[in-house]
Amino acid sequence: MGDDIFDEECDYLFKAVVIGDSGVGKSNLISRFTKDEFRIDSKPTIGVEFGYKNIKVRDKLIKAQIWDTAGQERAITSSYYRGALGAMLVYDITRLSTFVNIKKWLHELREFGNEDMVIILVANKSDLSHSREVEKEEGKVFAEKEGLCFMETSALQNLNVEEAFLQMITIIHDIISQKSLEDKMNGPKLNLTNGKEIHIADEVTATKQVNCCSR
Amino acid sequence: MNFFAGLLLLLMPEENAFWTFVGIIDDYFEGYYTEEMIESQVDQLVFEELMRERFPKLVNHLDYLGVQVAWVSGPWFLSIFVNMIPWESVIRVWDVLLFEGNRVMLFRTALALMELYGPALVTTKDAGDAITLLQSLAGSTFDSSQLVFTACMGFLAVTEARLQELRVKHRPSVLEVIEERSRKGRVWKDSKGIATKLYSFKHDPGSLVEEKKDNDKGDMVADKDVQLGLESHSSNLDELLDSLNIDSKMDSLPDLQEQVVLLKVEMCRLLEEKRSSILRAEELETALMEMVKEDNRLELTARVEQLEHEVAILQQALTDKQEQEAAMLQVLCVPVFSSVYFCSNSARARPKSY
Repeated sequence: MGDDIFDEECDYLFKAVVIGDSGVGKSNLISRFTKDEFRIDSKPTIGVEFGYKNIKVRDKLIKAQIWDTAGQERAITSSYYRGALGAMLVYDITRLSTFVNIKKWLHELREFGNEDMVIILVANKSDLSHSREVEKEEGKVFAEKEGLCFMETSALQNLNVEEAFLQMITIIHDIISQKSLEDKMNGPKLNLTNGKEIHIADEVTATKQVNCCSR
Repeated sequence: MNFFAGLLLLLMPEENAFWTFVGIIDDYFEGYYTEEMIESQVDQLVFEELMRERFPKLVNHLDYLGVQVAWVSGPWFLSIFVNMIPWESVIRVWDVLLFEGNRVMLFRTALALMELYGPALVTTKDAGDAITLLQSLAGSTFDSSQLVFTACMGFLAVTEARLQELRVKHRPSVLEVIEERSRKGRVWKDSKGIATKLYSFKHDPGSLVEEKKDNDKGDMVADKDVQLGLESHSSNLDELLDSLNIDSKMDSLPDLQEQVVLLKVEMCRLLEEKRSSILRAEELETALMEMVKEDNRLELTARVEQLEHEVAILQQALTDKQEQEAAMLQVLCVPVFSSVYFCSNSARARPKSY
């Protein structure tokens, strides 16, 4: 597809998922980040959709593959989270129930996702502060308690959207390079059989740019 | 569901669209658009099995990439292809679907799409690419005849009977997953306590308040008939609030926020009613004043008439008097003249007699 040109130049391919209740603005966050678009009349997502973006983090070109899913889908299975290095948990500051459900989503994430997945909690629709039901502090406190990153965003006003994704991707990158460094120190050669969780991700990466991973 | 409701609305008037919609859901998609979407999940498993049977190589490749067939086929089935393939193709598929009277055509069409685009999918190297490719290829299925032909001729073996058989086979596993999920959910809910009670609360006390509302409304209407009802309104409001407070204490649900919202709504409703009855009272008052004014006018006109009548009588009397006067004058003048005449006559005659 169109992105193929970049693939050869990319150092990494990161998979990240965006989850949260339906109508919290997942699709618009992604379209704002990848295409700088916002649609006020966007239709609900069914099934799975994707957004791609190439980002430079610490001299490395990273292709972010962001998975968008339907919030109402209760039938999301473990395979959806397979190989995801990052997850963005989204709630809507104007609807308390979406914040309450974050616990449910987090539970699912911890159950199905791999353990060193980077999770960032995003409070979307900060432009609608007049009908706010969840205070910023509440989100912050919850995020601290659960050990997540936290950010309040507005896909409509383009506030903090890029920052949120970048933060997630940067942390993923740091973890990955840390891991590969450790692997290099431990084993003479980086190969797919040694190492644990992270190789699920590397597998995806490796299918495309083996040379980059092994450097 | 909203997608094909839209399609129906484009094709027919609102009411017909509604009943067609009801008919389609009840007769063709029983159990599809429910909360758990059980039948939809069963159909996805059935479809996956059919895929494995027909296109083992493609499914193997998708398995390798970590793509679940249902991620793509699920939306196809749920939307009955609306917004998934071009408009004309959607309508052609619907023709067959409605003609046959079951969802077999969904399976055949989905299988046809896989047959058409499977070869391209095998070349993909990544889950994201595979799904995006399949979605965009399906979206450009402009040759509707080819699609319908492939679907109907290529997959004759896929019949309702066969599907039923497969559904029976796969349904238990779906139910089991749902059961487990809800059991886990319950345990989790219990442990998490307060926050999730928001959910269960939404249903119960809501109906309680509803009942209260109805009762009080009845009282209010009765009161209104007796008097203008403004006072009784406020007393009812207090009563209602009291009873609600008691309710909330009795239920002792820690869900204050929800209750506050409910009470606010209730209060707003009562205030609204109060305001409207005040307005009505004002209206009545002005109406009354006007009526009073009108009454005055009648009285005045009556008095004016009376006065006019009196004036007429007086005038009559006046003219009478004037006539009388004239007559009197006449009577008085005649003797004077005659006496003068008499005197002069006698004076003239007197010397003659001398």
